[in-house]
Amino acid sequence: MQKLKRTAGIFCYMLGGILLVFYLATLWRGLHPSPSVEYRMYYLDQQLAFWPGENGLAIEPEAVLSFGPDCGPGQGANHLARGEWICAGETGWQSRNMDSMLYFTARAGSQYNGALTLCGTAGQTVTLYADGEEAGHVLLSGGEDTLDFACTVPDSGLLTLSLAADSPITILEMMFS
Amino acid sequence: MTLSPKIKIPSERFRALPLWAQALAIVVLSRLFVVILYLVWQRHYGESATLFEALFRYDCAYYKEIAQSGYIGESAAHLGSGQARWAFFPLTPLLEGIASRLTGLDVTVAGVLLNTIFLYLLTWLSGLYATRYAGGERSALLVMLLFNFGPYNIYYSTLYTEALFTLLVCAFLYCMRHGWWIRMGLCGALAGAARSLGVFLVFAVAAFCIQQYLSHCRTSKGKPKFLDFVITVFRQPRLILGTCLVPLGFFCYMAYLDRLLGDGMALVHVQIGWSREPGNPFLILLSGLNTLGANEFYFALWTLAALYLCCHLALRKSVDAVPGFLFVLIPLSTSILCMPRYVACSFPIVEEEAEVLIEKKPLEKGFWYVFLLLLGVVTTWQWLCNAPVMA
Repeated sequence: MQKLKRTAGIFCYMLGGILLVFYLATLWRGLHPSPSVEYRMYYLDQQLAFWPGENGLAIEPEAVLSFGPDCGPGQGANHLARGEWICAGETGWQSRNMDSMLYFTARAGSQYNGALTLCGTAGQTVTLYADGEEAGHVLLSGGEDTLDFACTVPDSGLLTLSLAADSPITILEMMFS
Repeated sequence: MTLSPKIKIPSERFRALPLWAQALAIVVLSRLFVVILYLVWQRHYGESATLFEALFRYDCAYYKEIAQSGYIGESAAHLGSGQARWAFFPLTPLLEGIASRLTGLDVTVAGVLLNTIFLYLLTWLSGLYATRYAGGERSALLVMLLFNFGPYNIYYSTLYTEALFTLLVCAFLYCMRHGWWIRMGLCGALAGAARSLGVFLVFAVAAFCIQQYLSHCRTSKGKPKFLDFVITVFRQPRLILGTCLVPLGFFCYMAYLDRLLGDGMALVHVQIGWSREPGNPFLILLSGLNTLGANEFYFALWTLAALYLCCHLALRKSVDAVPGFLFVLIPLSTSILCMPRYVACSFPIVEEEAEVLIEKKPLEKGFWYVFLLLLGVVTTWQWLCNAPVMA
């Protein structure tokens, strides 16, 4: 009986030890997450204004991205940086900062040409940077203007487009080819 | 004040019943009361919703989705807000899904029936707990009545996790006080799989062990020493294993989320979908108190009342104060929203509520009974009316 009690005691300590190892391993995994780019940017780094959905940041060549108030497939709102844009009605998003970001994902090294339809105060120049390098610029007329640009997706697979302007601009549509 | 013989006889007859029968009678009566309220609500508003449809509100849709199709992954998160199923712990919807498959009933029906069974078990066990470890038979009846007729009792008849979680916390504390360490660990593990707060029950075990050790030192007139305490604890292998079992449910869910999403802490990170971020609970409480007239003010009052009851528990030197405080402060650290539900459906708080009420003078007692019953009616009515204050 004493022996059985001793064996049961050892079993309890061993099982307790195994459980502790499992907890530590799970905790370590929890502190070092490896989710999708979209997940990391929305839930962990809180860089995105909205949850874009699974693969919601992916570039779809020839598809028109409209910047309406909703999120989802084909919606530009998926790509907006958190805190840098405000909704400008049904058709566009207006920048709040001098430098406002948009995020996209694609295969590393892919090259794209893009066209961005925007509007803002006449006479100001809007410059678009792709991962810190100037990719295109346009002088605004006061109506709708198109900014054409060319970019290469960096090794990380995450393309960061930054729009720099002296006063708020409103983006309406975008297309990659 | 004495009761007339006519009233006294049924009361004595009721008390003569075994506890399980008392609990059964209370649960049946209270759920009939909910049905009556539903019928009045239906008639008043000319609603065509069935009882189960009327009970299906707010987050019930999440529980139903999980019960039917599991967690799925990123594709199931709501576009835009990012609110997602994995914010809801798996045990309750898992059991609701099993109940639905076994009975062939829809989850909305099977879930409510299952939670009513949990409510019965909670009523019975809480009565047993109060009889043995709290205020005795007098407070046992009151605890049972508070769970069934008190404020926010409607949550025990929905798909929400309140009934199961509160039952598991009660079972955990009961086993802990009884020295059934392995059973305690299993109840804690299940509580951790029902709601994130379950994992914090390990602190209740720590507090209980310290209290037992100090009490042992007092009776043996020995001086408490830390090393001696550690040795005393580690000489009890079942206690060690039981304590190690408590976080199991929580960590299993974390491991599952790690496989599903690549983020074991997804259950914390998803709170951003509800605009919740961890902060100082006392500052959140203070900001709630500064919104006089708004819903947040009402939530803050509930939180204050709960903290008062936790302090009361602590002053009585009850270890239940530890889970009591944790069950208030942890949810409060992200938002004051939903606090009434969290505190009104918290076992240590309801237990202490009964203890406090039982000590009141008859007139005061009568006032509080009527007030709490009315609050129970109002919260049930608000639930049926889909009022934002109940979200």
